Formats: sequence, C-alpha cells, structure tokens
Amino acid sequence: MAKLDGLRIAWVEDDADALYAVARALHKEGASVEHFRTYAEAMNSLDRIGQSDVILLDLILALGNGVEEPARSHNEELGMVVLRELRTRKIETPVIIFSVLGDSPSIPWQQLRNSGARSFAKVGYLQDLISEIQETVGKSRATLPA
Amino acid sequence: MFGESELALLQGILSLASRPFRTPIEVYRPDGDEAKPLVRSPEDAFPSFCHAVWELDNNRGREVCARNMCQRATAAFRSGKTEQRLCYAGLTNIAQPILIEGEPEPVAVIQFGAFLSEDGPTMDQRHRVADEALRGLNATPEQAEHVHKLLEAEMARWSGDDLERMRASIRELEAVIANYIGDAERQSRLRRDAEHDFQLQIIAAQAQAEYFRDYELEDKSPHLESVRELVGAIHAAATVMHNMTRGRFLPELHPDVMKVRPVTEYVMNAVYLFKAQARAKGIDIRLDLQSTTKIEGSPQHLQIAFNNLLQNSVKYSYRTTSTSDHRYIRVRGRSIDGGYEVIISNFGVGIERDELERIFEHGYRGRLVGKEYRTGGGQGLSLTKRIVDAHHGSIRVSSDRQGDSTLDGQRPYRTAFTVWFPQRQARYNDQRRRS
Repeated sequence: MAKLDGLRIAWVEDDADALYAVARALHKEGASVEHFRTYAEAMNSLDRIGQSDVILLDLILALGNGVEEPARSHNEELGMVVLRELRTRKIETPVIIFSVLGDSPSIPWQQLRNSGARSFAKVGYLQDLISEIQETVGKSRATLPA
Repeated sequence: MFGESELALLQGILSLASRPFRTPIEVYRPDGDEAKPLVRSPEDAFPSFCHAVWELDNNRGREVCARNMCQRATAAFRSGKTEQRLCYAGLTNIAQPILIEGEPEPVAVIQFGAFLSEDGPTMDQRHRVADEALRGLNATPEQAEHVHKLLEAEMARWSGDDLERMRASIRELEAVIANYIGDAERQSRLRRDAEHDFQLQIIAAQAQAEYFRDYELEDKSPHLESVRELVGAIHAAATVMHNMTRGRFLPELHPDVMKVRPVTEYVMNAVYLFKAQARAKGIDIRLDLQSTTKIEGSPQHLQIAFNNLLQNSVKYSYRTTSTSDHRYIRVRGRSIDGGYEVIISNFGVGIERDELERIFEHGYRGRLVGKEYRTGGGQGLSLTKRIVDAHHGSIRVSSDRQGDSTLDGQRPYRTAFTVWFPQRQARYNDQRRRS
C-alpha cells in the first residue's frame, strides 16, 4: 500500500513547477496534490485549502494578482500571513512549513509553532518529507475528537 | 545585511563623527516587532550628563537609557517618520528612519542623541522630565542636584554657531550612512534572492534524482549505484549551499524536528555523497561501525555535520598514485559514554598543531590547505561544530605527519575528526514533557 493513500494535500508554493518531482513522488505514494501558486491564489482559496488533510506551505511567496500587499511586520513572509489568516478563520488543518528558509534565524519559528505549524527544510530527503507528512497527519487524526 | 568588515567600517565612521561633538550616533535595525542596535556609539561619545544618569541606582540608569533609545528607534520604524523626542532624562534625541526605494518599511534608523533643538522644549520642561527620571532611579538629593547642573551645562554647551555646524555635519553624515546602508541592503537582497534561486534549483535537481532512484528504477537495475551517487553529488552541493547560507548560525533544534535514528544511517548517507569522488582519487572508504546505536537529533543538521566531515576527508586526502602508498579513509564508530562516537580519519593535507583549535572558527582555513586547493570557504567545519554543540555533543581533531616518505615527495598527515553525540537530548525531552 502506498504511504499516503487517499491523502489530500494542499501545496502553497510559487516554485511548484521547478519542484514537480516532489509532487510526482507524492502522487506515487497515493496522495492528491492541489497547487496554490501565489499569495493571492492562497488567500482566495482558504476554505478549499482548509478542506485538505495537510497543507504544505512555502514561506516566501509571490504576491500574485488581485490582492493588496498585506500589512505585516518586517520579517513576516507572505506564507506566514496565509497561516495567520487560516488560523484566524479557525481552519485547523495541520500545516507543514516547507521552505528553503528551513532553519533560518530570521524566521520567528516559535510564533509559527504556536500556530500549530511544523517545519521541514526543503533541503531534506524526499522520503523524509513523506514520513513527515505521515507523522503530521497521524498526530492530527489522533487528536481529533472521537 | 552586514558582514564583519562592513560593520567595522560603519562603527569607525560613527565613532569618528560622534566623538568630537560628544553626542552619540547609532544605527538600529528591525528585529521582529522591535528595533535593536546594529552599531552602538562608544561610551566616550556620550556627554557627562548621560554618564551621571547611567550610574544612578547601581547602574540601572544605563539599562533604562538603552531601552529608551530602542523604544525611540522602534517608534521611527513603525511610523516611518522622524521621531524627535526628549529622552527619559531630558535631552532631545532624533531617530531618523532610512527608507530605500521599493521597500515599504525603513531598513534602518539612525539615532542622534543629546541634541539641542532650538524650537524644542524649554529648560523648565527638561528639568521636569529629568526630575521624573531621577525619582525613578532613586537618586539622592546630591545626585539629583549634580544631574540638573550637568543638564544645564549640556544645554549651554551649544552656541548658535556650534549648533549650526553640528547640524550641517550631521546632515552630511546622515546622507553618507543612508547611502551606505541602502547600498548594503540592496546588495544583501540581491544576494539573498540569488541564493534562494540557486538553492531552489539544487533542491529541484535533488528531488528529481531521488524520484528517479525511488520510483523509476528497479531494485536490480545496473544503474542503481550510479543514480545513488548522482543523488549523493546533488546532496553534496546542497550541503555546500547550506554551509554558505547558515554557516554562522547555531541551529534552532525544536522538539518537532528531533528524530531518533541510527547513527549509521547518517554515516552511510554521507559515504554515498562522496563515494564517487573518493573512488576517482583511488581512495577506499573503510567502514567499521559497531552496533546500530540510535541518537536523537535533527536529521537535517546531523546529516550536514556528517556530510561536512566526510567531504573534508575526501577532499583533503592525497590521491593514490602508482608511486604512493594506497590511501584510504577510515570511518570507525562505537557506543561509548551514553552516546555514539565516530572517528573519521584520512591521509593527506593536514592541520598544523597550532591551528587545531582554530579550525572550527567561521571562515578559518588551514594554512596547509591553501597550497593544495583553491576552493573552500572555511564554513563547513564551523557549521559542523555548531551543530554538534547544539546537540550537546563534542568534536575534536588531531593531525600528525606520517613518517613514510613517498617518491612523489608527499608525506601525508593522518587527520582524524572524533565526534560524539549523546543518545538522548535531555533538554528537548524536558521541553516535550512540559508542552
């Protein structure tokens, strides 16, 4: 059986084309992946993103068309604004921050973790990402009310 | 944004400019929601009044002053406008934001302290503010009188001409610093974007190679070994990139990223990365790993640490030639002292005895290395040490010249890195229990 059988993954990522091999691997493991390629696209699809089983969220996003630059603090990347908005709307779908900024000290990780996000650096191995997704979804399901 | 040399230059400019006027000039940068000092003024650039206030309440005045300056700089960041206010003790201070094109927020704030403003508050108002500060700092009546006198003297220090001259100088200085910081910021952003792009391309190549290995290739494919080596080569490139971008930082190891895995997994992954390069140099990698002890740690970081150690061993090994002894790298591992120790040794370019300690410093390259290799940035071992420290482990190195003289004149050093990691990370387990 594939490791991510039937899992719905929302992937907010402006470089999804370059990283198509990641999506192919997730497909091979049985997951369906829906891409949201800009901040604008993500913000206009929050409910849809929230219906997935897990969200892979890049931090550095292109703004896209049809939205204004949001008010944000100096080191708040657009991906963090998406996360903030998801939580404001009480969308509690588990989030994995999937970013080259992995362990960058410029990111307020504690704040992100307080929003229930886990992190996975893109420089990690593909199979580790798949394990991370399994673990995150497993934990999330274990905490759901019976 | 700033490297050490850029910071030193900025510090020099500010010190030179602020001492003659005895007025502090400092630069602040945004840090989260607040401003933090990037370059402080030397203490002798502050007027006597400031020194007298600092000493109050067992030097608590100094903390209050520093906090006050940060608050003013923060206000300038938030408003994007010049903040001209009295400091907590009664002198006028100016916090001037530096804006660059295309950036919605200031990139820095220059702050000038102890600055007299003609259209500013009256002396009475200044004394009232000082009184409040003196009460807050538990000043005795004698101390209070002394501070008030110094405040009068500070205000009297500036005649009209002096004030004009100072203002003109400061305006010029402000323009120089704003240009300098603006340029540095633009360069830094360009570099960051280029790094990001490069990282992404490496990651994309890595994912494609791994995809091919894991999903397209059959287990018995004759190409499997080559593809594994290809994956390794790309991971090696990713490791170098990581050294460049994160070499200065101590990684943050949150419980979320900690996994318990056999050490041998990291070692074998690292061996795959550099196996092809070693083979090309005629070098065996000989493994002697006892037990499969698991250690707790951040897989990404531990892998980078082992990658760097293996890469160094391969890179600095002398190649095996028809006239030299056969070379090899030995990787030994054993359980010891509640953890696992790995010793990676090679024969080649060594490290001189007096620089063994320095070899883990950021940007330090061994003296002997330069004669043999042009590339390398002195970042891999520094980052490795930081990763080991963050995992409460230890690392040491030895390097001894070997006696065998070969026909090609190369007498190798045997260099050995010994790294030890504890099995469990107590601090993180404690955090996990608490959360």
